[in-house]
Amino acid sequence: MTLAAATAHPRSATGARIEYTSVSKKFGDTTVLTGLNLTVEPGEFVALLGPSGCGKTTALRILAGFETASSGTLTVDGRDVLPVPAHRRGIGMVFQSYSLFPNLSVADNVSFGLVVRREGKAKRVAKLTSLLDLVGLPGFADRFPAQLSGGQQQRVALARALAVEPRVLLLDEPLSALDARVRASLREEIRNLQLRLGITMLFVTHDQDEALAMADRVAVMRGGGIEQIDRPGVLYDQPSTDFVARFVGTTNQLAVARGAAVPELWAPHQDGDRDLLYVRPELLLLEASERGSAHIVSHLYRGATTRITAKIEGDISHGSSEIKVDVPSASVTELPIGLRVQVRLTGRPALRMEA
Amino acid sequence: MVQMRQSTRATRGIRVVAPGLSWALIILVALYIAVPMLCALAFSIYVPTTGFTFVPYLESVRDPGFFGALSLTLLITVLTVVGLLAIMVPTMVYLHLKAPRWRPVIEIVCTIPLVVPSIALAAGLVTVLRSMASFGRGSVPAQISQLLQNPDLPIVLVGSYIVLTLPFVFRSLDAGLRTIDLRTLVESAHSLGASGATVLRRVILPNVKGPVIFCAFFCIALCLGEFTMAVTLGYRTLPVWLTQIAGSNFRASISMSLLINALTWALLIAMTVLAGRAAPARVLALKGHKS
Ligand SMILES: Nc1ncnc2c1ncn2[C@@H]1O[C@H](COP(=O)(O)OP(=O)(O)OP(=O)(O)O)[C@@H](O)[C@H]1O
Ligand SMILES: [Mg+2]
Repeated sequence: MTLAAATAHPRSATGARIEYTSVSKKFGDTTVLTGLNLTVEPGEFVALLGPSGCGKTTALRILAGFETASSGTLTVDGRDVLPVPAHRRGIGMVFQSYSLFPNLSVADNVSFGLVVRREGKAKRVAKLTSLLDLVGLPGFADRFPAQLSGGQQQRVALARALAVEPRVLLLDEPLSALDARVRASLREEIRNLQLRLGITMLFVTHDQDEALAMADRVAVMRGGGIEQIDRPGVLYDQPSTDFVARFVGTTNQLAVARGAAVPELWAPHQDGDRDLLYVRPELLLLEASERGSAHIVSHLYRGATTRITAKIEGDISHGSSEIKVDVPSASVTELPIGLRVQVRLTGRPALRMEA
Repeated sequence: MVQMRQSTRATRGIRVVAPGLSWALIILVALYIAVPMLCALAFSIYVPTTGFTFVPYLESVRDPGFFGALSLTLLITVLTVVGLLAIMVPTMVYLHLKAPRWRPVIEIVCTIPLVVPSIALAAGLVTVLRSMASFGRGSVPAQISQLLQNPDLPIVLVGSYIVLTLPFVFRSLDAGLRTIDLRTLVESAHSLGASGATVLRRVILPNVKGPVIFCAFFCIALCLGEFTMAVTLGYRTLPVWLTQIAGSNFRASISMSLLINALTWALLIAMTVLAGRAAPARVLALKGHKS
């Protein structure tokens, strides 16, 4: 937790640069990765986000050396790693299932990589102490994995991976098996650790909150390729495709007349002549109005804000006839269920596309 | 062995059989095993005409064939255990990791020795070895046949015993490897810099210690007691020698078979204790959960 701990990892002070170029992967007839292109800068934290089965794990396993690529190149700091066997790549990995060696104590688990590398005892002991401090488990050295909680096991797994000072650390849904509270605290710890050590991290998740909260950049994957990669704020405010707009965050799709620079909701339009707006719930405003073309259906209290669902009428609806609007919880009393309201836009839509 | 411990713990709460009945069963089994052995013991140390004696034991050990048979049997045992584990552990690991689709096929192949009587196996082997030898002196098949049947190093017998243990060894190792998260453990170790051999030695073996010890024990028991193959292939192992001296000195042969039997039991107990110790982490874990 101190500076000393950070300086104990001089080689990792700068992480490595990772570059996937047109990496594809086939299992038999099914193509799992379709020419993946991805560059991760030294010391960067990139999250791979996407629906189940889109190839996130496969992309990671190819880099770790547990899976071969069908074509394409993959370099770490400019060196082609595809021909290098997994145990010589020096790439750390943390798995969803903790994967601690059940026959070894915490101390032996963490020291495993150093023992394999024939490091001296003094160095191993020093490393162990500083790493257990780093992951917040001092005094746990003599426990066995089965005596630890899930969160503690994952901390040990993290310490074990960091012990060999990898320049790249891969994490495949490391928090998915943990309960919400532990997940939230470990999320922060991992991010802080990464910033302090400067390791390049590639983090797989299908939890968008996790991705947006932790990563420098988030790569949204779909069907074996990257749909968009950007900083979390950009991804949220300016998604480039329908898929990203709907996959990241909550989105209302509203049909409006084409053309107008400032879109006017409920302006008359015809079917072939419409634009589709993707609007975040916090960018819509509800005002009580007898002549409004929506009415409030339900409230969902979420602490500071309340999510209101309203039913809209007219040809503004696209697919769903319901919209979701976030309002400060303090103002909910003015918007009771059943109230007829007018809907207004208070900011720039995340995305505007021809319908 | 680990699983057995855990399952006895798990089932302790549920009484399937009334306590009295289960004790009766245990006593019955114990009698079934103990009575013949006790009779043999009595027979070997008590001669009705002269009273108690240890002469049969001394005679059996003094027999000129004894040490030859003993050393041959021990050599075969050691080679079989080492060969068996060296072949089967990596094979089973490979099967689980890289070729799980082949598992059912290998399972069936490994089960064959169970359904083929060992006399048939031995007869088949003899036929093959003879036909190889019939290629004539100096020919390659004849040389291979000779090499396999080297009287001092009976490779053919070692191989046969490995085959005979396969049905049990396959199941034991298979079950052992299923209880651990093999793939993730191996991949974690690789990502920490461990090569294949290191992973096998430091990660896999310690986590399947119980099954491995069981395999070794089973193999030892088989090697110490197997008769059919050895006699058919013409080797004078301990059991073969025993039956040979039984004709001339029956009491001595009974005394020796008792000794071998005792040795087997001692091994069984030692292995059970060892296998129990093989999993300190898990035993600790169980205690940990309780408190
Ligand atoms: N060894 C394999 N053999 C055949 N198909 C595989 C293999 N491994 C993965 N796949 C397939 O490849 C696709 C992508 O798998 P992958 O595990 O990379 O997805 P993922 O994005 O990590 O999904 P999840 O979020 O569910 O973990 C899936 O359709 C999966 O069925
Ligand atoms: Mg996955």
